[in-house]
Amino acid sequence: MKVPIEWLKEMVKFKQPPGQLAAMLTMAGLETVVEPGNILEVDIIPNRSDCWSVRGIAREVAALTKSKVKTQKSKIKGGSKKAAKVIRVEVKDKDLCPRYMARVVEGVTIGPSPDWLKERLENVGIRSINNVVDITNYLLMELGQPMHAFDARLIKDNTIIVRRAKAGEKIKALDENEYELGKDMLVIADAEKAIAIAGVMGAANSEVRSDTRTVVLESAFFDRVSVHKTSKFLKLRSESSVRFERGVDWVAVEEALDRAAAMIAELGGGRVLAGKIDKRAGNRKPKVVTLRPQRVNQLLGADIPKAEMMSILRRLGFGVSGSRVSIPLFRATDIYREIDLIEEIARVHGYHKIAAAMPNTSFPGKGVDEEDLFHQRVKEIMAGCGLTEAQTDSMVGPKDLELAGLDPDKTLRIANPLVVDQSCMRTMLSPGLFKVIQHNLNRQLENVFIFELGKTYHPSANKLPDEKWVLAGAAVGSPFLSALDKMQVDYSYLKGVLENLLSALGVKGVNFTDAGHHLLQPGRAARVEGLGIIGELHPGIARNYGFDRPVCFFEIDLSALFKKAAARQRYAPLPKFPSISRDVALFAPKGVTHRMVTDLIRQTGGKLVEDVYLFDRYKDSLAYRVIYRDPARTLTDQEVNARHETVVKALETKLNARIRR
Amino acid sequence: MEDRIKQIENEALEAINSAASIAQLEEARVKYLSRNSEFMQLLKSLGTLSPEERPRIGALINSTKQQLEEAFLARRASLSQSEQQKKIESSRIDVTLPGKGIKRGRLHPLTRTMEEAKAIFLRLGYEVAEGPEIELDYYNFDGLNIPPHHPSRDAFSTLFVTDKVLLRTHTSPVQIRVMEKRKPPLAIVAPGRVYRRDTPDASHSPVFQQLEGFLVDKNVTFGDLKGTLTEFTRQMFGRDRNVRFRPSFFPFTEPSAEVDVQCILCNGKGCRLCKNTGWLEILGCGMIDPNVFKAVGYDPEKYTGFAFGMGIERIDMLKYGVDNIRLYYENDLRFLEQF
Repeated sequence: MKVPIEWLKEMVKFKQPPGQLAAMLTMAGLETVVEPGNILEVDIIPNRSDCWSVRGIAREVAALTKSKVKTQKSKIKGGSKKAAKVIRVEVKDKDLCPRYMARVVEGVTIGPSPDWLKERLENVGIRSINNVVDITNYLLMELGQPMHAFDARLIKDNTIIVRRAKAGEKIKALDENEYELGKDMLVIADAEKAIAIAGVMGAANSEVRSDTRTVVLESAFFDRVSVHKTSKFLKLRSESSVRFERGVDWVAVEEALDRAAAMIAELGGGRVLAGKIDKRAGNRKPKVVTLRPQRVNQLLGADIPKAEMMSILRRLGFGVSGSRVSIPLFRATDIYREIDLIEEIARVHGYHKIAAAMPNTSFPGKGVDEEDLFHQRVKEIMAGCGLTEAQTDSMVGPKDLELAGLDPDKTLRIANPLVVDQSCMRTMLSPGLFKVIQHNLNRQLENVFIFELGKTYHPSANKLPDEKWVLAGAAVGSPFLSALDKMQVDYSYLKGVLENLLSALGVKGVNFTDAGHHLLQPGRAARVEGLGIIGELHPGIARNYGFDRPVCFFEIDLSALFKKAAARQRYAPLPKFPSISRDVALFAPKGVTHRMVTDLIRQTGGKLVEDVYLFDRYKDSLAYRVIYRDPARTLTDQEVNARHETVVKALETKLNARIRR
Repeated sequence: MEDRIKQIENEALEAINSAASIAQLEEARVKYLSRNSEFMQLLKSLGTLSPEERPRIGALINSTKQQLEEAFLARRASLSQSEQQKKIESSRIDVTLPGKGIKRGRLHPLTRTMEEAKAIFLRLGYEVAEGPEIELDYYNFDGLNIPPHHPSRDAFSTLFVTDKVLLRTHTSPVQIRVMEKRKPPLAIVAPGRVYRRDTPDASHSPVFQQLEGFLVDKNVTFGDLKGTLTEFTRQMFGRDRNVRFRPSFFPFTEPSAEVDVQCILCNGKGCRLCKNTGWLEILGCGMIDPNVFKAVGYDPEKYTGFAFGMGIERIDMLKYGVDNIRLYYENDLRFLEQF
């Protein structure tokens, strides 16, 4: 909100230069900067409805500089004719309008405002319209109370009815737009039509015009929630609605009305009729809250004397009697508890005066969360394996899903997306990584090795959808530092990455089995048992992304991996006796896999087989080395030869392998 | 005989010293110094000499043998050194050629900054908690003292799945979830993604990350909040950097504050980054509102506590001078590989 220093000075005395004043306000909770023309730009936090006016800021300045806000009295020379003769008011929905006041000014000449008034409005960003409208806007800025002026001639049957709108009722507002109202919205109406959207905007049908002579002034207290809902639903915000939805001052409703009437009489040359209409549901009195000074200091960890606390509250306009504090009505919306008073004391006293300490607590936690730590480890291992971490948006669009052959209807949909491209929650991570690869390839990068650890989201019959932690990796090109190394990523390279991850986490015995998935190229992909999938991207899918080189990826259920990894790793004693190795070379018939060979070697070799590995391979010719060891004694050549011969025989007979002797 | 010894000595020395390789030297050794060489046979023939001649010739042979052996060793040392030298010369490489091996992967800058922030609190004794990103509106709003139709709900510009289910707009719901299940004392940090229906620009992203924290016990004070977050800020931004606590408003804390750190670009003098204020806003905090305690069944007279929340992107942008939040979710390797 804009507050000209010159206007502020009219309401409160202070010596501080603008810069210093801005700093004081900022450190008391109202972020303020000084703009050219000696205007303060004040950022009003949502709970400070009382600060949406020059007087509100003046009160704050008075409290901070130990000064006083000047009081302004309205002088109204009332004639004998009564306002009630000209206008009748009926409030039908008192829940949405607890107070409605009106005054009537006759014999007004509508014309331009005097220059000082125009200039003041201009300084706060309001366009001058005519003297009457300008006066209501002026008081809106000065006192924070929105008012509305009607042309009495245009109020049918001289009757104002405050009621809920009829469903579908239409109104053309002062912004020239027509709005269709709902039946929860409050309107100001006359005998036949709505003449204003209560608290939001007046209607063109009853506005003050150049030939208006009799002005009916409205000053009311509308329900905050109602104005908020109406303004939000109609997407219509005004200086009025902003103030009503935060809460206006019960007392200022009347004060502003009197000021407005007096000013119109003065600047528009009219006569204020006697009496004012005041329809209200009861009266509001300041609430009284008990303040315990020791509680203030206990909560703040401070040592503020009671006298200082009470002085702060008094300066802010609170009534203080012993430890009982009465809350002025202009603070009624944000202050109603002891804690609210404590905040007032703390901020005016100054946060900087409260000494920093460290909590004296027992910190019951064990410091780390196992799963969170696990995620961190997985990320480190992935980076160590040469994959760079990406973080992609959790919200995707139907187009993204379709590129990856996924059905948008099976995802969780956002009801009010900003754009359609962010209207579905991702169900897999790898499609996001394909897009990252695409992005980088399109920028002339050739080698992209990336991973993401994040959540996927799945519709569920429960109250909330399922969220799953997932790890995905994707790669294209060469993983090497130097371009001299020509190897390009393929299934086995990425499998190696995954094997290193599993080994680093102490996960053993995970099988890679042939399996189909629509993202994977058949025959160059696998299911990672109980964990996920890995392989080369299906050429059909690769084409969707415009990839012309093989892209490989994996996607792993991280919670399942966490469970497998959670088992404690234990030390195994180092061998005391030497091992003996024997080799076997064979031609594997079609359909015989590496896994079948090693399984059979282990099975027939029995406990003595410590390790089996493939050390040479050319087409279907495979050479294995078998390491034999007995942990309890030294093996002899003869027994190893015999055992190895059994193994070789088994390979010949059970797998039909031709042995190369 | 003496002549013959002299003659062999000359021949042998010539052969040893002229050997051009270890192999040639070895030939010479076999010829002159091996058991069957003529010279060594001479030793055996000492018996044929007269007793008077024997000691003199014997001594001569021995001294000659020693001399030849020394010459041999010297020559071998010199030859092997020069052969090693040749080998070295011939195996010289260009040490400026690129190294082999795989290129290292990097952690995402947001991961690094999140971990850095989290680690500071873990060192102080906090534990990590998690909550769902797709949340019930109760946990995101009502439980946090944000009633329906309150203007402060608008500030969050929420993405909804249904009327009651939404994408959490902050990590604060974790406070309610943890407090509903456990009793104080509690010291928790909760990292995670949050969502807002904000039009993307250089400093707004519809998805971003927060680190939430809170501590609840008997006698927790605003001073404790100041001490804790001052320590955090110093560990994060440097020990000599000033920190200030500025009154603010959050529905779920009271008193509330924004924490500002002295501008890291201009050191408080005022620049474009800090909009000439000399300060950068880095996190919001406050004493947990009694209404929040009531919502989880804690007695606000018995327990007090503080809570704070920070945007990880903002902290990372400030620390590394990143000028567009979009870079974090675009994953351009030319960006990611700078870290």
